[in-house]
Amino acid sequence: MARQLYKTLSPKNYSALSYLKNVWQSRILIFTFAKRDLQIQYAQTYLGVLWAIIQPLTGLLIFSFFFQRLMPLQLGVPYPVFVFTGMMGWFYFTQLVGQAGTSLMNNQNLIKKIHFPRLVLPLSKMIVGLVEFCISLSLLLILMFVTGCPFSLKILLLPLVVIANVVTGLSIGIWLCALTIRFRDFHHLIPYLVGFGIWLTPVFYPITIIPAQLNWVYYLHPVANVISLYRWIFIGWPVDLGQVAVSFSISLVLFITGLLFFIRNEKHIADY
Amino acid sequence: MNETVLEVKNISKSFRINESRKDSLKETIAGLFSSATAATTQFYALKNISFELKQGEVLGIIGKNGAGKSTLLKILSGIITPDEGEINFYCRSASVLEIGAGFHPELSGRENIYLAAQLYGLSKAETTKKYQSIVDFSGIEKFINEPVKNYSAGMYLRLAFAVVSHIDADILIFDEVLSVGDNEFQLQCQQHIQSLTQSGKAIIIVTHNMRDALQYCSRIMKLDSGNTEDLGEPQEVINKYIKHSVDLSARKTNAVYNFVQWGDKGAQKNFRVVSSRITKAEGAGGINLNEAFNIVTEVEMLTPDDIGCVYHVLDSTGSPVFTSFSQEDRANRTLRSGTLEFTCHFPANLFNQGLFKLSLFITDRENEIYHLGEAFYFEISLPEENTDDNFFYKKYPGPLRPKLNWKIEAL
Repeated sequence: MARQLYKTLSPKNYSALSYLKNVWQSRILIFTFAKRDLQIQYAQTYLGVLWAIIQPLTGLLIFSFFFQRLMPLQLGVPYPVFVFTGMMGWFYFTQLVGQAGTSLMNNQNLIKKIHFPRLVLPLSKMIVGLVEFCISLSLLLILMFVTGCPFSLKILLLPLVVIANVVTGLSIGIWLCALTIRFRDFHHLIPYLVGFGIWLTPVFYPITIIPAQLNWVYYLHPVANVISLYRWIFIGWPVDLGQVAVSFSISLVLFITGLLFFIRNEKHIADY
Repeated sequence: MNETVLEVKNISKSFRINESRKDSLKETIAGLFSSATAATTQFYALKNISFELKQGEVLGIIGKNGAGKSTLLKILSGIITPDEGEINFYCRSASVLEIGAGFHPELSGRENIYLAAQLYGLSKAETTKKYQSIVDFSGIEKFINEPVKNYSAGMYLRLAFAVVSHIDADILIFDEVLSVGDNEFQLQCQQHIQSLTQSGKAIIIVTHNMRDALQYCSRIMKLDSGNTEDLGEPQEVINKYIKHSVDLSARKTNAVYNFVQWGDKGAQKNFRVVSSRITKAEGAGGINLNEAFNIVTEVEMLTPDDIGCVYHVLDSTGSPVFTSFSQEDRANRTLRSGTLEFTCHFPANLFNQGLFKLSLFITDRENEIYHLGEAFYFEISLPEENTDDNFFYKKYPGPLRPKLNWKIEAL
């Protein structure tokens, strides 16, 4: 029997590529963790998965009630449909930021006892978020059908928009995740990002009410552009694809550098 | 059977002890603008650890708390990365640093089996195949759909261990898993480890229990402040570990141990134990297992009294071997005052080789009125002439090795 080296542990840095190969081999864990999270979320609740429907619905009701009265807007579509197209993308984004960003901190016990590529923890959140996204999506489709909104073929681009949404969320989520290893300060930053972010994002107001001189902010705002994409494919609002491309490129760069930063710091995760 | 499955080469790991912690962002930013370097001390948790593990071997790791045992295991498991050195695995390994790691209290037994099994590297198909066997092994089929937070501690352990025992790996690394649970559970663990070694798996196990170490391990590594203090045959390492704190002259006969302490039961302070010594019928030096010897204790009595002497013999792990009482005949005899000698004769071929501890009591038949918990140690060795002898089992297990009468008859 020829002795074959199975694996080596040493202080040398892994190449990012071999690390990602490792993650790919452990991809089942992404689903395992996602499944665990979803099971925990609805364990011992009477309504179970219904909560995933109740939450977006209450949000929808509150926003519709207040904004339709406070800020009568000429949207051309029923306000609930409009809000829903914004809320879906925003909630998926905040899930990725909030849950992926805290995934290492919240699983410290596991991290110190069992070895697996740590990147699967933040990555698993994209499945968790996707499940809730799909529930919101079906609500939106029902709402559009009921209110008689026209469907366009652009809806077929939805998978691409979802990918853009995931990359945008993970680009920040993975950075936060890797930074919280060393600096717990970032852990405190997350609620602010999520809580205040919604006001700075065109979720329940259209981007057109922003004064022109502030447009450059929204030009760079990654989630604003993702939401424009959703509104483009669902309610046919015009979108500046060049602007989206620029903003998505920024997210992509953040995503890749975040991955590299995470991989470089991974070996220290259990040290802190 | 002698295939090397794991090579550990010069592993070191240090941690920074921050006198000014740089863990917060503020201090790192502040550090960028000041030239003063933060005062940190390097603390070596492990220093130059090297060893090899062969197929079918059980390596026990012992040492005090903080000796680096857990750090070593975490490095071997890939949880933390060493600063220096290299570890080569020649087959698949799995680590169990905590029974029940990966379990989530809110999830049911069934869900936890899948979760934990996949964390230990089993695929979903493999888990499904082994699922029934895991449930049977745990013996809690009735509660398998209950969340594990409602389990009793015993049920939880059994389920967790059932998953662990179905891990498919050729090297298994355990951190003190044998010290949890009740006797039944520990027995189950023992049996499992034995069956693992029999099937040619290699095991690394951390333990605090010397008895476990002697029982399972084929080799023992003793760590002390991050260094390998000893690595070798279990009995030898453990004896050295114990002798470390024991006067080495304990091995010789005719050495006299002076105690000079007064009995401490108030009114009964009418005697003192002066000393103990080991004497041998012939010659001096160490005691071989085929030689008889005496242990003599000298007691000084101030007033006549009825007292007895008790020898309590323990093995190197601290388990009792036997107890002997000087007035075993139950006769009442008031001993005169003056100096008395209690001599106990230990016949040849009673003890097995090894290190033994003697605990000494003086009793008035009702109470123990004087107790010397660790009077001294003595060592029994294998006779020189026997070392080349090729008789069946040069080494016998257990603390005693009596020569008993056997009869072999053809019927």
